[in-house]
Amino acid sequence: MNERRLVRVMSAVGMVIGALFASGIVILATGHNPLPAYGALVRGAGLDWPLQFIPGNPFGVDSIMARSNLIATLVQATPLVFTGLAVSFALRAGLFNIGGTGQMVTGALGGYVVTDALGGPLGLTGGLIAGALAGAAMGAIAGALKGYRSVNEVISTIMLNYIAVFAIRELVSIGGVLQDASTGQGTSARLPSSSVLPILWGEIQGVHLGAVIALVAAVVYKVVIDHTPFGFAVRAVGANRSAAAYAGTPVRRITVAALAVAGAFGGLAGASEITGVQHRLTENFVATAQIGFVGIAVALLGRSTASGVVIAAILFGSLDSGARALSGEFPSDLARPLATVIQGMIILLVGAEAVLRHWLERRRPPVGRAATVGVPT
Amino acid sequence: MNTAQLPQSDNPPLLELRGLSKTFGSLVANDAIDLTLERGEIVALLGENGAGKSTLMNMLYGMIRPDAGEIVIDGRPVVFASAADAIAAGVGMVHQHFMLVGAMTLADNIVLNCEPTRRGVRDRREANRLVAELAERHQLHVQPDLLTSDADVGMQQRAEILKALHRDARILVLDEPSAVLTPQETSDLFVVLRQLAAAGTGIIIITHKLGEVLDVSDRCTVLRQGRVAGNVRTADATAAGLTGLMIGRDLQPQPRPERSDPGEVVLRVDELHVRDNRRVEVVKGLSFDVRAGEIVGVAGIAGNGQTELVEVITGMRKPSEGSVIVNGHDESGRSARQLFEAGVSHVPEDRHRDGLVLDFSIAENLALRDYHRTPCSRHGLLDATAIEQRAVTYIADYDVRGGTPTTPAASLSGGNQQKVVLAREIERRPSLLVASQPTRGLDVGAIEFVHRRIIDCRDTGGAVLLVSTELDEIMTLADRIIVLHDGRIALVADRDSLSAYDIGLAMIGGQEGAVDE
Repeated sequence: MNERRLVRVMSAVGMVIGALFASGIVILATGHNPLPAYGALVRGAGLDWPLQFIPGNPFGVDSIMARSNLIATLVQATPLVFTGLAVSFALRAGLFNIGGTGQMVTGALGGYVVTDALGGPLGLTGGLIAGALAGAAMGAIAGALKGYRSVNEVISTIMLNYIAVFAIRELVSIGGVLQDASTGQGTSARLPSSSVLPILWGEIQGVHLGAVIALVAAVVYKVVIDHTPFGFAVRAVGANRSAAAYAGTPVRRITVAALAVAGAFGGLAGASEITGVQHRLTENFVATAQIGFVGIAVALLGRSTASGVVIAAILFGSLDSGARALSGEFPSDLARPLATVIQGMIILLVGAEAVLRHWLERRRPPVGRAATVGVPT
Repeated sequence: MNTAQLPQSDNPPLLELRGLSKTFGSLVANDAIDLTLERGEIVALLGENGAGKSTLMNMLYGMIRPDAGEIVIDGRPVVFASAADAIAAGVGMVHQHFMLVGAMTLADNIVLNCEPTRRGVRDRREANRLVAELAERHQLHVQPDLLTSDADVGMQQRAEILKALHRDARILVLDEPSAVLTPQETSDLFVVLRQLAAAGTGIIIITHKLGEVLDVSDRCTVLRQGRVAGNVRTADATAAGLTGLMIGRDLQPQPRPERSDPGEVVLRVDELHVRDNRRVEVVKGLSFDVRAGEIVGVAGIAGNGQTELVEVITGMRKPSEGSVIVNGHDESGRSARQLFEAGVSHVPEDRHRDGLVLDFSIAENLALRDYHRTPCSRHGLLDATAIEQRAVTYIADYDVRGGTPTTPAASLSGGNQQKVVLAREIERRPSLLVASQPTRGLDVGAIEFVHRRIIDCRDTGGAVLLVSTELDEIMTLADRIIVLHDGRIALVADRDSLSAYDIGLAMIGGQEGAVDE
């Protein structure tokens, strides 16, 4: 078993290296040297921060800069852990959850409304729960459509994304129910400072309690998947729906429940982002919620395991925050696209690997297995 | 009845298969098969499951390449690299499971891939007109603009035939054409087939139904174990003669342990009617009992309702009428889990698809039924140690070779995989064991092991319903035998009062023998 695990980790690492290599060619094509660019990327993400503790600081790490960059990376990574778990949980049940965005938006809405209404620590607790429940409801709708009406969950979750996105726009745009009239903009009122998640590291826009909740969520994910009967059923349905049904697993109910749990993780992404970073709902939250889609890449790269998702989320967070620092070394109009290119390369390689594996399996004697995309086998 | 046309020596036959052979691994599916088809002739191809009919027809249709031999059409040898080549050479095939796109109209399906066009654009009106005309000419009624998924199976089948005719098929192969039809639709179909033959089309009809062979064909070729067992004019054929050719051997009941007297009725199936996924009724009013301490064997050619019967008894399908009573409780329409908890264990016929989660470890597969109960789960958490310990015991008791509890099931051999399924289903002492094709694809040693365990299950007071298309298996294990034909009981009797011949005849719908119920 350990050997298989090592292979899984190595192939994920190999994909990241491959993506960096391929992106290096792109950088070369723009007439720049990739190595300093990657150095800037690493520093920009603050990944050099621990190096300052080596006696004598041989790498000359600027500790203040590294600290603030690393904080930015972790703030970016926090919602990615949640959306990565949202995609992973569904994948374990053999379902593709493309609804991270919609679940995040409804989670943000639920989180904001309840936190605002109750206020204080009670409001925060209630807000996070409400966010999770709102996301779960979105997932459950797609799950029920899949389980009882055979509606493809990819289609239904995408459609639900639109519903959530337009609903929130309607609510916070000028004249909307939640809009703060005094601003004259498409935004809700700010949560009072007593009703936002405490900052644990850094100042404004620092690492907030949501990061800890994300780690707790990853632990919960692992416990549920590996150590509960429900997780067993989810994995059985994901690995072989038919055999699970023949053995008496209630496949339809598991389908609904799996997408509901996936949605709850997505909802937490929204609630934690609202109460930890943004503190109010805006029309622009829709743009933030696009990281629901990045969750797919996080889940695939992280092989739908708890630790893999956390590491992949930090990697994708690093790419995002590191790209800003590239502006010094690079023409700024190349800096951000570069981060996107690397992300794209990783996603491409993850996808190619899944296709390759599927193809290899088809060449083996038929054993009646479904394609297992991004799920540990 | 039509009489076979005499082959004319100066005129080559429409189709000749000469010495076609095909081997899959160690299995010889077809061994030097010869078959001739004249213009205007209807040949019935008869044989048990696994006799090689499908392989032969797949070679004719370009789906698989023969290892040896040749296909000769109009005296010219042809080589088919794909079905497209076969279609171009005038071969049309109507599969048992229709190859139609449900979301398209019947006309669209019929002209698919050779659509009429106008200025390079698909001309649907012309397609509808063509299809209507073709249908009219051949008396094959279809509604061209009807969505295929809304058409009943009879019309879908006519569309399949029209599809072949639209491609100018001169050789028409029909695989089990009456399997989904009502008797009236079947006799209508046969009228059409005779008209097509009269117009010069050569027709091969694959069937298991003796009545149909005698009714529609001019000649009959019987396959047995990959070889031609006989080739007779239908006019000279008798039910007995054909059955003899098909079975080809007299099965000797093997000595086996004495059977104890059966006890209480464990399973009672009462006036059961079941529809398949196409909503065709495939189980048409079955009633029978299985008692504790007896093995009841269900024999029959595949596709005569066995699969659906098993699905209803094990909770995978709901009956349309009738009831399934287990230990005196009506369990009709209950879920798979409810039936399992009512004491019904199931060894599914497709162990890779339905019996095992291949990516799961042996221990996890053994826990697949009761992962949510003690000892597998305690206080809402899986007990990995208990699951693994039980697996160690089962692996030892069932002699599962090549694996520890954490080995993935996928890496076991077929026989050892089936041992895992058996351990899971039998070790809990079920009141009823339903075993479907329990030895399919296994080697001799594994077959013996599986048979031993099934007999043990009976001897410890279990009721066993054994469904198999292997006559040998039924004869070896069953105490009582039910033969299913066309969703009904064709024959039911104690094994000792039956010969393989009686069963074979009943399987293909022959009228002789002790027909009961």
